[in-house]
Amino acid sequence: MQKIVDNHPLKAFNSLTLTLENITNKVMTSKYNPFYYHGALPQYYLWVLYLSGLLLFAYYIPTIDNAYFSKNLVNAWTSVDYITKSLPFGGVIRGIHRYAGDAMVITIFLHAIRVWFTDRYRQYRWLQWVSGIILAIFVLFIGQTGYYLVWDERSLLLTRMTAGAFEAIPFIGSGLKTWFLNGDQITNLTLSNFLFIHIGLSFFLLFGLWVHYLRMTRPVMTPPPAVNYILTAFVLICVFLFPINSGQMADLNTQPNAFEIDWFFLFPYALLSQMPVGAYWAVMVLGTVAITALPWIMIPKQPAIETAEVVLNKCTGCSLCYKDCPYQAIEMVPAPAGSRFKLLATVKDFRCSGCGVCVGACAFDAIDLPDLPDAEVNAKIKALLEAKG
Amino acid sequence: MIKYILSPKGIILLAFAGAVIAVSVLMAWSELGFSGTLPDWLTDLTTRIGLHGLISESFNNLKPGLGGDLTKFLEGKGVSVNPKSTASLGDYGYILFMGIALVIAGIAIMIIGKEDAEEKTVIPVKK
Repeated sequence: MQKIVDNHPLKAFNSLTLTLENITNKVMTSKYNPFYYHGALPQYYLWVLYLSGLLLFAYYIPTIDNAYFSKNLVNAWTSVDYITKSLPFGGVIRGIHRYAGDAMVITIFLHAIRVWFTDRYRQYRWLQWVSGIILAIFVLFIGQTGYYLVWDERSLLLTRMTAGAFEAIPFIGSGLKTWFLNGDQITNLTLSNFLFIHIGLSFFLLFGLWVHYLRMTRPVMTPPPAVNYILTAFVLICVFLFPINSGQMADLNTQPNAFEIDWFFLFPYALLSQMPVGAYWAVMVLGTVAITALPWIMIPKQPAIETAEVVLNKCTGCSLCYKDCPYQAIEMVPAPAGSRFKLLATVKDFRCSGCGVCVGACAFDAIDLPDLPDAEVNAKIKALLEAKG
Repeated sequence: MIKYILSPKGIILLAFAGAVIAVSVLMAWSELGFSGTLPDWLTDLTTRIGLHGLISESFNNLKPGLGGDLTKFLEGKGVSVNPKSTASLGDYGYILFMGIALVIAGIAIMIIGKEDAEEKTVIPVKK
């Protein structure tokens, strides 16, 4: 855990988080404490979404044809209706897809809050923070396209609101609207585009996750099975308590003006309905920029980090420090000519947090923190353990 | 083995396993449409082992009580199924009981696995 200076506002949040963790540890033990798998929780729901989405995709027809003529003709709405009411377990799978998406948003939010409160979002973690924000925006947009695909009155209204919001952007607005609708107006091709965005961006998330994991030596990617059981149960019980129903079939000749809002995904539309479109974009863009820039805005006043230093004549190139460093701050390079070893550890200062893990990992006293010699680190660990009893 | 089963850990394990099995039976009952009608193969089996009366009676007792309540709740939430299809309201009951079974199983695993969760810190000896 990185030390936060005493007078920094994050100190109180950090203490709160640690207190909650300690309470949860007493109830569930550290092995099952969800706080220790907070990054893996949204990823678990991502797999649930892929699997449930596969079944929905198999029966979904991305077309608006005759949507306003007859329910007997197959289109997006009727295919969703078939999935929900006629396909065995179809309604349940649709519910799982919906609530796993909501749960993913909740767990992403909790994940972001925790890394912020525990001060793990800046310096050597800035890449995780920025990529995480981008991933969260994609998740929101993917979720919103899921609402368009149902093709009920809410879908029609959301589609029109989005197209209008895009069109209002100077210079590129017209092009964005055409891209979004896959033409100048809503047609069958519009829903094909929505389906492509929904599924295509979902797989793009995997690439984004790869970037998110860069510079993390041992990312925790799967919670233990018992935690997975509880995560799954949460979704299943929601499916029963709040079963999913579609609204009326979309009719292009009508102008729906109200809809039931899902606050997890559709809160931007609540904003858009309450303010002029220019103000909406200003709020969204400035809000996103502010959150993304947090690592550089909230820099606590604390002493500069003392990065680790390799003792060249002692390093054997065994790679233990390289394997243990949580921040990928150590690189193994070819040893200089004349050395009896093949490799030599080097420290990338800009990634080093001065945590001292490498000092503990080295069996040869070959890496030190300048102001915290090896022997002192061991003495501190022993003192802490003795104090703990 | 018997010693383990009679230990506190074994008793907890058995109690939770029993609860999971009981709730899992409700999953099957839900999928049968909350009805007391058992499929033929299950009727044959329970008759052969002499438990048909007990199981059939249990299913019939569930139907007007819990089954009626679940059906009423789902219909109140606007859930409907196509009567010409094989989908049923029982799908939702199935998923509810699966969720409850998973919660019980998750808690059981956490209780049983608690002992392994103790962290063991070993200070490496420097060469």
